[in-house]
Amino acid sequence: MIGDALLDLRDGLRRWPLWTALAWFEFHSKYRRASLGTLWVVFRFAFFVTVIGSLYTAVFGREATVFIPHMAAGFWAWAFLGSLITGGGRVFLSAKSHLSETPLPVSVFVFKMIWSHAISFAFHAVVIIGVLIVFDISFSASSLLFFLALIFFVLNGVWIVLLTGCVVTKFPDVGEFMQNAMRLLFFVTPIIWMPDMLGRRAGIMWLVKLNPLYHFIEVFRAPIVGNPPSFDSWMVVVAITVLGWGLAIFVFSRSRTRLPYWM
Amino acid sequence: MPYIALENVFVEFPVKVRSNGISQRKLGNARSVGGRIVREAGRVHVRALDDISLTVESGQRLGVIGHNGAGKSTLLRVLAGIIGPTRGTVSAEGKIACIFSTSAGMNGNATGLENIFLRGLMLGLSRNEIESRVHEIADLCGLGEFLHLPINTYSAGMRARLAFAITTSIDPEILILDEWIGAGDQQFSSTAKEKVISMVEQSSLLILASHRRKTIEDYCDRAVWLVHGRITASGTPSEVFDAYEEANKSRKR
Repeated sequence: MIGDALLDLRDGLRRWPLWTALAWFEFHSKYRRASLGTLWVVFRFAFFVTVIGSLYTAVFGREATVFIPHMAAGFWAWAFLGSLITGGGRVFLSAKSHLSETPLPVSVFVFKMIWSHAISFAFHAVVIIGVLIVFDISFSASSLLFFLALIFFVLNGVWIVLLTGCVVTKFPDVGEFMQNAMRLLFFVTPIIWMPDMLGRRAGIMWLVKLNPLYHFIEVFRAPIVGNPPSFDSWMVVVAITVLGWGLAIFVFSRSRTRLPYWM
Repeated sequence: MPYIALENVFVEFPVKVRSNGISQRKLGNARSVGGRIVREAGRVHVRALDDISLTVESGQRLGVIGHNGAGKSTLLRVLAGIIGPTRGTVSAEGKIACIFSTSAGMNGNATGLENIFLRGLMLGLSRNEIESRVHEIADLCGLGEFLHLPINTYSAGMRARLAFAITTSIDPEILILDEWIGAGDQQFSSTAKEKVISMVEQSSLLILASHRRKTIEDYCDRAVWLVHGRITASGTPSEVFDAYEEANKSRKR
């Protein structure tokens, strides 16, 4: 069973011309009728960073040079990983019309979802580069860790979509629960606030660090804004990657052939 | 040589039945549609296929007939490898292509040409292979300028033409068609029939579901009749259809 699941993943990966095309197509057709087209992806993120960035700089009384890059990089990461967690559960349900028409490795649609998030992610990068230039943030050797973090984001994205896709197809309530949980987690994760703002109440940080997403955002953001890498956070990310993949393969191998029955 | 064989295949869909407040009323047992509803250990299943054993070999053209919900589409999906059976075994050899509806998993917002690419990729062709077949596909479907418009603007028959032209362009060894084929007009029907017959002559095999006598007699040389997910009769298309129509008549009386 596990062998078949791995074969499905391998065959799905080999169908990259299909899932890249499907993702591109979906991305384009979303903005087909707007005259600014796909540029809206950049504008939306730029508006968010400008408005929320200026407002919360004032609310917290922090210097913009520190807060805005922190917030923008954090939200960049969240827009990729967070929305894969929130939306990943529907991966097979939304591919139902394809899956019931054509014999395909089901993992094709997992990779398609990762790819369409990667496209938005690449567009968002324009805004991040703008922020880095405006606030004159310099690079160092540890900035290269960003690329390692990116690899781990993609690796985790795949198992998350695979796992939640199987679980939510069988138990739709889990999908509803996750949407609620993720809305809460957004505020609990230091994206529109900074851990050092806790000041005298810093004792609460142990609670913040129980949130796995804290560590993911941390390893992703530190190299961008020029913070030193956190060994602890990296360990958590590596451990979750290994455990997550194990769990996802286990669940996928048991649900793969049952998916059409649950849809 | 391409073939498909099913051995003691069962397909049971679990059903979540939740009372919605509307009073449950006895509706009687007279029912000609649907699979068998099975209650086991407090769980409800619809048994869509009930102990099916069937072999289709190269050069054969099999018709599947039966009432709405008799299991025709489910049987075709199992044969195509889209649904794995709950119990039993499926073995197959050969490149499979199937069309289950006129939309055939195509994207309504995309143009006909874009759909040729997306659908071609889905059927496992490379971009170059699709490129080299575009003209052939355009000729077969006869949609001309319409290929540059979104397929939302197409009629059901036009979509059927497109789906058929793309799907058969991959030179499948096993062709599985559900019902929809009646959507095309007379001119297209004869083109499609020619194409299918010539494909089957090149050692491929055809499986077609329909409840129209003419369609089955035109395309097939063998037929099976499904009732509540079971094969009730098999033989030549006219024999099986005679039995089917006889049963329908006696039910009406």
